[in-house]
Amino acid sequence: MNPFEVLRFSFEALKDRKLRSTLTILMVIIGTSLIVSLNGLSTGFSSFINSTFSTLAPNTLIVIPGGGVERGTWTAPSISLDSRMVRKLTGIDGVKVVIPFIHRSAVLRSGSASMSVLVAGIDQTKLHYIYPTLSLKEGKLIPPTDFIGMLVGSDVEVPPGETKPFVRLGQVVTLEYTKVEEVEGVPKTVTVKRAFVVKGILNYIGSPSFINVDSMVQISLAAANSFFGCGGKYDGIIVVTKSYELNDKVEKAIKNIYGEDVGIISPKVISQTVQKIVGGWSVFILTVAAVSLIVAAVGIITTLFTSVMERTKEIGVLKALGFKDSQILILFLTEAVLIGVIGASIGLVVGIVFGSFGFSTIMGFTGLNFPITPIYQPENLIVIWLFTVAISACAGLYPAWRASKLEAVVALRKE
Amino acid sequence: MSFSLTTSLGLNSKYAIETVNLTKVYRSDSVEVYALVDVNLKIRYGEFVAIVGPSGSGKSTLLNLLGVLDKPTKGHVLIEGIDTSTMSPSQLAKIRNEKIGFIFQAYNLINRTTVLRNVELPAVVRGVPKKERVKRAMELLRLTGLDGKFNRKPLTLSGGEQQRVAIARALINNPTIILADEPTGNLDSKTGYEIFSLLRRLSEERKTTVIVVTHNLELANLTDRIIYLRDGRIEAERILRR
Ligand SMILES: Nc1ncnc2c1ncn2[C@@H]1O[C@H](COP(=O)(O)OP(=O)(O)O)[C@@H](O)[C@H]1O
Ligand SMILES: [Mg+2]
Repeated sequence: MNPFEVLRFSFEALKDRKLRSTLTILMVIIGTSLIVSLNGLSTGFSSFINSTFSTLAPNTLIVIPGGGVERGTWTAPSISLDSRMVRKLTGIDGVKVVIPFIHRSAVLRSGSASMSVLVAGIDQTKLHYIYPTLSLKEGKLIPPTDFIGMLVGSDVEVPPGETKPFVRLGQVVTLEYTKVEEVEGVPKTVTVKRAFVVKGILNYIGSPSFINVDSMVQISLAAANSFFGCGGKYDGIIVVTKSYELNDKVEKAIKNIYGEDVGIISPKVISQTVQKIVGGWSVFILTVAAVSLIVAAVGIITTLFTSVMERTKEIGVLKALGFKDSQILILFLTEAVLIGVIGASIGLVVGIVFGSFGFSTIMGFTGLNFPITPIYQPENLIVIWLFTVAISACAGLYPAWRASKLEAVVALRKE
Repeated sequence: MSFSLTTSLGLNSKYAIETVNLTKVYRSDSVEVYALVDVNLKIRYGEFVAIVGPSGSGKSTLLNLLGVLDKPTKGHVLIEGIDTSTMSPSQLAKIRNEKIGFIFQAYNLINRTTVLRNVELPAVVRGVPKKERVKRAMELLRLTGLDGKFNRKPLTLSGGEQQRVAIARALINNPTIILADEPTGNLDSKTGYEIFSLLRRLSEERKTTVIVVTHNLELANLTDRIIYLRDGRIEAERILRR
């Protein structure tokens, strides 16, 4: 029997029981669309997390003074991050380069306009170790001995939502910050100002939340030290390891030397932890969705089984007309596969629409503005489609087998 | 028994269908029903045979065995001289498809699809190209007097018309043998007569062997030979024509 005729016969049989077939297909649609939309959302979320951390090289560790934030209550740092520590860290096995930095907030004035910015004092010749994708749009990096040069991020050059540049290459700008100073026992606020020249502008690198280079200005470490009055102490030290696999080993070595006096942040570890949580969450959600597909499979079994019972006499007639057992099996199996194919195909479309539209509705509800859009990878969609069709076929196997094994004479006697 | 097997074997048998000690026993729980006991039959090509007998005498059982739809408990069915007892289920399906046409009392058409499609079905299974089988189906529907009703659904037709569709369906693969189990049981006498006349024409003009089970002795008298069945045995035979 040619495949087209098989399809036609099975399709007619499905059409003959319209309501029941439609409801069964609906179950498959629900299962498939759930899987598609949830898979799209978790892929989108994963990619969002990845892009957040991807601007930082994976083989970096950030050493900060111990105490403070990590322990919930503020305790004063018990150790200074200074050039001695830099030397010591450089000596640890597996460390490639050590980059101390100063990281403070300040107000940047350009003409009559101003904006608050994060100022990083850092040896800019080593920036590429930390941000592998960083590139200069104009000008040059600021050498370590330059006290007035400033490198600005792309969101500082042209703030988001504006068309006019806030600063231009070669322009003189002012950085200022206020600090509280005790003068003869009396607290007094003091404003510190200094002029800088914009000598370099960075291309947009896009790091949505973690260390936002695009909205930072960077000056030399020496300039930051003197401007912020740090007295040779750093806010943090970035340790670049020879390779990402060595992160753990180096982290342990640092802990061995300084114990709780320092805190160590590993962006890679944070990223992986978040990914793991997201991964676990999406496995859970997909399991729930897969269960709905199993429910659909049970629906297919019931539908086909009922159909076999109702069509017992027809099966007897088909056998009398010369249908082989295998052909009867194929006819009923094809009905299951048709339910699967129709359900999976519609479910794919519904899932994509629901994932995009439904999710944005939820976001509108809560007022959050995550840049998360569901991502539907064609290979995932194909796998989901095939999976649905395969499950449907499996569900059809038993009823189809029962149909093929009906005894012709007994089937014909049934009324 | 071997005597008749050896003499009858071979493609050029005189008989379209032949049985040797055909026996069917139904066993349910502890009860044994001897539905058919040692039936020996020889039916020539083109012969029109009626099988009559009281209800429960084994007529349907015999027809199902002749149509290789069921397996005998003992004995053999030879179709065109070939013993079917050692054939596999799929070989038997092929025999049913190509050599035999079934007609039932309840028509047993597939009601969701058209008349034409019903008639085509055995040819679809056989793998006859669409163009050819549609042409044949239309010819047969004309022959059975259903011109112009190709695209009707079976349930919109009268009982007699539905049975004609079933006859056309039985003929689509040009079978050697037509087996009809009380084909007029659901029809009035006039329509029943027309159906029998049609079967008569098939055996005369197309040399199709027709074996028909009936309760109606008047109709049975239109055939070439009447076989009387009682309690699973051939009680008597009467030859009307040769
Ligand atoms: N599948 C079956 N199981 C048990 N007994 C059966 C079965 N089919 C037929 N019989 C019995 O075999 C006998 C012959 O039945 P059947 O061939 O249908 O008779 P007829 O067609 O002449 O009325 C009956 O006694 C019937 O009850
Ligand atoms: Mg009967």
